[in-house]
Amino acid sequence: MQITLAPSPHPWTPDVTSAFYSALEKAPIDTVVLGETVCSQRDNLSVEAWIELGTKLSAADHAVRLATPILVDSPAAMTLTQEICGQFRFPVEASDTTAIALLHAQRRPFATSPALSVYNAHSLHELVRWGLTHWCVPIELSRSNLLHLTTVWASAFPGTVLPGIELTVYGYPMLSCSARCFTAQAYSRHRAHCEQICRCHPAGMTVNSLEEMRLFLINGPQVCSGELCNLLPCLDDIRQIEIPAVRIIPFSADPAPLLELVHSIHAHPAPLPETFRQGSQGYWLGEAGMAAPAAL
Amino acid sequence: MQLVCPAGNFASLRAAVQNGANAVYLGFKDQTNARCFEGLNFTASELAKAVALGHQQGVDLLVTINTYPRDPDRQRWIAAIDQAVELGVDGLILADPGLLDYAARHHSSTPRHLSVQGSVVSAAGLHLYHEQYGIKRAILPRVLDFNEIQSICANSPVDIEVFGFGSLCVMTEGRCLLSSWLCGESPNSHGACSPSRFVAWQPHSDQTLDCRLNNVLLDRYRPGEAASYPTICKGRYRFNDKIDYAFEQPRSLNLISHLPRLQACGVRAIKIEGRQRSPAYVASVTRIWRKAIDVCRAAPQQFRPEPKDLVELNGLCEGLGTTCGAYIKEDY
Repeated sequence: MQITLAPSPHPWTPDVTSAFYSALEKAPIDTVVLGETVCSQRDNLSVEAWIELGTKLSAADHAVRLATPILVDSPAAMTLTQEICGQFRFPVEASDTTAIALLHAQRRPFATSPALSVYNAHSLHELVRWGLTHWCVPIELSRSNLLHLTTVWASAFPGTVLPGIELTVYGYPMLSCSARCFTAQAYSRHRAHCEQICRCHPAGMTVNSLEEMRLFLINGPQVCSGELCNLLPCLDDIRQIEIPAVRIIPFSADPAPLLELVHSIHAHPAPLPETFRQGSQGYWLGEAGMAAPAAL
Repeated sequence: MQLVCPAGNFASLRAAVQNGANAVYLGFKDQTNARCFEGLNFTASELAKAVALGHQQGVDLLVTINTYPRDPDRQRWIAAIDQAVELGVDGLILADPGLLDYAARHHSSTPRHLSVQGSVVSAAGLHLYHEQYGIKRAILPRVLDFNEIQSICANSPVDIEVFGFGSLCVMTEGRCLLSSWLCGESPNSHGACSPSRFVAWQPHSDQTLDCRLNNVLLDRYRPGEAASYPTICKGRYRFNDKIDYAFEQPRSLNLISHLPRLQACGVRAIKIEGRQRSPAYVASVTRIWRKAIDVCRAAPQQFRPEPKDLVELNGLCEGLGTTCGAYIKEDY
């Protein structure tokens, strides 16, 4: 089973980012996706620096993709999208239709992030016509819907190969994105004058209900799940239904737990450590996203 | 500029037509559209009557089929498209690429509008959808400011429609899973944000009122405090050592004072939100905006909304007043 590391959504400094990926050079991760996908105002790596980082990872035998911003809602986000789509060193993971449009205009193949709303075989086929070669399944799509999609594909598009499928199995996925920065707002700041306050919350800002139920994590202009989404306990089934690649969303600047997780996946059929058996599987099982296995 | 008004039922449709709408948008009574609520929307025979009334009065009927089908249930959406075209509607408002492809190939003469649910925010994206599906118009997500909208209008191959009034989504439309995170249904999947059957109101003996979605507490109202229909993005939560609205307050969008700016941007149509609102809401909002658009067209430099109209619009807003949302990002 192939393992992909999604772009880090966290507001890390360039030093923390570089250190994190350096520590992963020898990790058994097949594909590493790089790039600033959350906020173009974040003072992270430049595109040249991402390419340099990617080159080191590539030299260490990792496949590398560069991802575009999830929401192109500003001139800065547009410029970043154009820069990523304008480099030819690495394939691009499109996170917004703007990037898809730019890549299609270049007649260039691309991957899509889970942030794009592609829910059925016919829509997937449209993106394949435009150049999609590698599809990351939207977080909301259930196991049943995914299997039906592959069945419909086989009958509606016989002879057309399905794009590579990648399933997010671990992390705190994005649930929504906005033009407003919710971290800045929490400090009564406008986004234009945020002074990178998101760096005070490197793993996101917790949002609890008034009954102290943990609901969400605020990550700048994005709202992420407050509970861990974890399909690792379903890996046997995921292998059995022949999903070729699983995707992990970075969850900490400390690479150690990620390395442990990746080794646990590769240690199959050895059982998963208890640490990696917690979390919700609601979407995969066709329920509310936050539904924990015990409740289903 | 055209005025595009909502109709959740026939009485609202009549209200929109009688008060000067250029077009009315509505949906079928199922999850093919993103306002799938109990008691709302049109059967096929009601839509037939709606088309007859609209055409008699010179008003376009646009059918929203703007949710995202999942396999193996796509046929319901295809049937909705076929039915709407057969009934002679003036346009289809679509988001899903597969449905746009179907409509373009099988019903090429029925105009296709790209729904706000399609989540396209750039001229580049609009060029792609125009090239692929011959869309005539696109409704922009409420994440862009006036400058960005003006730039898109200048570079877009299609007409641009923007929301001007009504309840405000603060999250990018077409990509919001907050509702399905809590209750398993989202606008994309089931055509509903915070579906009513998951909503519960709990009054307490101290006169406070809890509002829950799938048993998760979204807000707790103090005695006498006005309550709004619960959506997750408008709830109050504990975060950053305080209790407050974490995402947005319950406010409505109102751009009427900025009509000259929208006109100068090159916006082709203003959309009024509110298919779930009453016929009285539709009548008042349509009347006021019709007058404002006509006055602004004649003399944009002198345009000011009348104070009594502003008061009336404020009275129709949800919650705590109005905002310009992301249209003015300096305030955002």
